[in-house]
Amino acid sequence: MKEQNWIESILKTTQYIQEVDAHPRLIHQFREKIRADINNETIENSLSFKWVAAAMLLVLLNISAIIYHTQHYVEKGISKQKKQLNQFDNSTTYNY
Amino acid sequence: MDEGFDIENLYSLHQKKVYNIALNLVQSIEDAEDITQEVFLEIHRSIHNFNHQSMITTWIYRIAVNKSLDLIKSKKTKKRFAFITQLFHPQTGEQLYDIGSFIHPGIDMERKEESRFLYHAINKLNENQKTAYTLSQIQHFSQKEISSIMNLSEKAIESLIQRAKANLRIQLSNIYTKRRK
Repeated sequence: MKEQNWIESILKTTQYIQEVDAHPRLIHQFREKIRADINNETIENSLSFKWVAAAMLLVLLNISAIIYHTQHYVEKGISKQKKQLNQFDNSTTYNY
Repeated sequence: MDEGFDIENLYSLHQKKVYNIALNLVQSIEDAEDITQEVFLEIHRSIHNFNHQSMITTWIYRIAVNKSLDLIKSKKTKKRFAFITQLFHPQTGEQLYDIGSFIHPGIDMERKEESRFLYHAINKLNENQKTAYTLSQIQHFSQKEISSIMNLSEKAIESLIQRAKANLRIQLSNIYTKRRK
């Protein structure tokens, strides 16, 4: 009986446990952590933006280079053909 | 961060509840403080993941419970390799039953010893029983609220609380027997 009473008194303790406030410094620490978090986010975002911009620039440069070289070779090819045609004309004799 | 989402306001409104959830589960003021900060940092970082399928309070308290249980698990792993402090009878040198040292800061002076036994016995429960019991009996959440937080049916919560009570009686009976020796 004594044991049961003791057990009941222990279990009843739950009724006497009050919620407590955390230490007030926690809110200040939390504000600092949030600010640090936001700063890190901004830095990360700006860094990734820079990487994206750099990658796009690289792609554009490569595309320009490809276009330039393609045009250059096409023009080269055309002028070569013209040259060959002229030579052909000059060497051809017409027998009437 | 979503427009109109004020993390500091959320912190002010729910910090006390979160802190006490953690305190009752991890039984350490320092750890409960760390968990409280981590909970709200996580909310700040992942508010865009909140899908509004539950109330925001349910989501917050669920994070608090999960972080508390994660800490308990990680401490248990470390404890396997640590020495456990034991209490010895001052005259016979015989090992006494270790009842743990956590005294809840919200308990009256005259009930401090009893609360030590209670929290020691609560510590022996499995995760789910411990969570359901502390949320229900110490923090007075309703079964409906607990079922949302733990993502279990109300019937399951009721069963967990009943089993927790039965297991606590067994634990306390063991403590009583060993104390009498």
